[in-house]
Amino acid sequence: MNWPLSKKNGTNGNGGNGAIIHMEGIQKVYDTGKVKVEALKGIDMTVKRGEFVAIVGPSGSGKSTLMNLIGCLDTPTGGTYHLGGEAVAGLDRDQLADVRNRRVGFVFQNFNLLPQISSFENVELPMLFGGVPKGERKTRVTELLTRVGLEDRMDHKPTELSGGQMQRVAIARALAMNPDILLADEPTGNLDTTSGGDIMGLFKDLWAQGCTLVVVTHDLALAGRAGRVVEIRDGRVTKDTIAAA
Amino acid sequence: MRPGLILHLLMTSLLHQRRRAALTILTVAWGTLSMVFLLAFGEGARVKAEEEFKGWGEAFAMVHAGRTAKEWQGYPKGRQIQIWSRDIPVIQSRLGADVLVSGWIGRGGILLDHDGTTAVVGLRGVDAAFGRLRNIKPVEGGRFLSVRDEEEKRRVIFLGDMLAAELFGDEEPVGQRLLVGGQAYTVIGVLQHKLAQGLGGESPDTRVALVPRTTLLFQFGDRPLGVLVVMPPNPNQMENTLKTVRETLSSLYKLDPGDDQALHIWDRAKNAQDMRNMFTAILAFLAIIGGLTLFIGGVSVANIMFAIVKERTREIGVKMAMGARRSQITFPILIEGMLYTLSGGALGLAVSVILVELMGAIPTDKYKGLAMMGHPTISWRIALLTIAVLALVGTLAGYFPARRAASINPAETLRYE
Repeated sequence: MNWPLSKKNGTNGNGGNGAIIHMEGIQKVYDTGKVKVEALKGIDMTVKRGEFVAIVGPSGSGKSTLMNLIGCLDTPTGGTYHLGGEAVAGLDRDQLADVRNRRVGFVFQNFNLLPQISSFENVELPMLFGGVPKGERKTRVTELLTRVGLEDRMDHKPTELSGGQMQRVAIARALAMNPDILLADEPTGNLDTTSGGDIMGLFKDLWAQGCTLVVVTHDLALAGRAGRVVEIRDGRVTKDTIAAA
Repeated sequence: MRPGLILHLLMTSLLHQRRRAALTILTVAWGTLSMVFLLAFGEGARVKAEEEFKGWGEAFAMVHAGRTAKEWQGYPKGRQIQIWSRDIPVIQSRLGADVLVSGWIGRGGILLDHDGTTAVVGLRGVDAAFGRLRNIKPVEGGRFLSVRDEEEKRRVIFLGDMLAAELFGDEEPVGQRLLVGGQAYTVIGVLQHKLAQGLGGESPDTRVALVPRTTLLFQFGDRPLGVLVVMPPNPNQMENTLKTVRETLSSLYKLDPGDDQALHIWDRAKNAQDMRNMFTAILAFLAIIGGLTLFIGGVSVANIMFAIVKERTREIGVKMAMGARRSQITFPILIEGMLYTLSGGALGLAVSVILVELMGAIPTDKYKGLAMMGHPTISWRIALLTIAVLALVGTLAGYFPARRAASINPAETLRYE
């Protein structure tokens, strides 16, 4: 099994220009039969390795659709998308699953941990799908949970954890396969201010360690921590600002 | 010690739906029980019929003479053909010593008299080979007719068990004298009771009175054979044997060899095959009924699996987002469906084995209807067939829910509320 513990380098992981995400003219039309809804009307966006990008915009702007496309949960109806230099168009379901497994780590607003199994097992899950051998899984899960500060909560079930702790387990899970990007959808949306602050701090640390982060958020405080803010309105990028360091 | 994660997920799922799982397993167990039971009864009846069949003797054929229906070499049709005792050595020499050949001559309305206890029977003169042909076994202490009886035209008689009881009551018949049509005979043997029915208008074996054919001819004068019986050592030689018999008799009596009115042939080997075919059909029919009941169990497994997939839609979406391939989503569901099916199947099989054992202990011989059915029997064939149907049902019951699970769109299920 090809399982990269160390980050891929060079053109293989980056594409020619060091871009992790490279989108050109991305369109997404939902065809419900009678009505055609144009959710994205041509998005051009490039995210480079090591960037921390916040995607903001009002409800119905197409943020979630864009996030599904970035995370390869869905495919665009027009335009081209390269993720880590790999063209996503035309991949079948299993190939998309592999791309998600190796290249994308998801963090959700409502954590989406499996409630019946422990933190350890939740973090182990993506590696199970990726075919990582058992011994390696164990080392890696321990390492990740330690990294998010939950080394003493490994055998706890999600129901025995606080919201902030659950989100940290989810972040450890997202990092399990050492992905090209960490993709978070309103990661602080279900948390109180303190826990939300913790998670923001954790994101900032991960960024400092070289992770590429894409966060969809309403949370201005979180967006303010990002290095770059992309605003979406009505299916188009309306603003793209690099924050002053 | 950490159990495998997949196993852990499966176990938590099973525990989570204990009650529903138990009911589903019961449905499958019920279906299995019905299927095994129906087949066990069918098999019991088949075994019984096979036994009865063997009671008649297995692969012999009977040749009756009739009237010619075709002209042949200038002879007109409508001639009454008769086979005589003197033809037997001719046929025997053509067939070779391996084939048993016996004639049977009937003589009706003969009075049997034992010290004033009387019975009127159809007396039959047969050869020593007849005992082997018809699988006739004597009660201990007696014997069947022998070649020497035949050669010396001895006045000996072999009796059916009911007839012997009528004439002798509680007395031991073997060795006793019996007047047969006014002449004194010695009883040499009594038939062991067997479960064969009467045959073609003849009296049932239980009331049979057999004497050597030579003796009967000596006492009553030469008569044509009622029936000629032949049995090759192996049933699959029957066709050739019958061909030779037909040719021999055709040349002796100037018959068209294709004239099946002149010689009626009743082939037990073919009958045996017909009976086996019929039972195969009956068992297949029972298997279909049982299998359909089992499929209802399968439907309930599929039902619970659909419910599980629906409940776990989000979980499945999460797994997909984590990069689970199609097979990694469907496999656990297939396994779970199979597990329910096979648990139910194992339970059903175990219960049916116990019930069949219990039923085997019920005495059935007293009641004719029950005796006909024999004892329900679970054979390897039945067990394997049931397991095969269970495996098929389990696969189908898991397949469709698994397919639905695989078609879940992760983008939709993960959308926050």
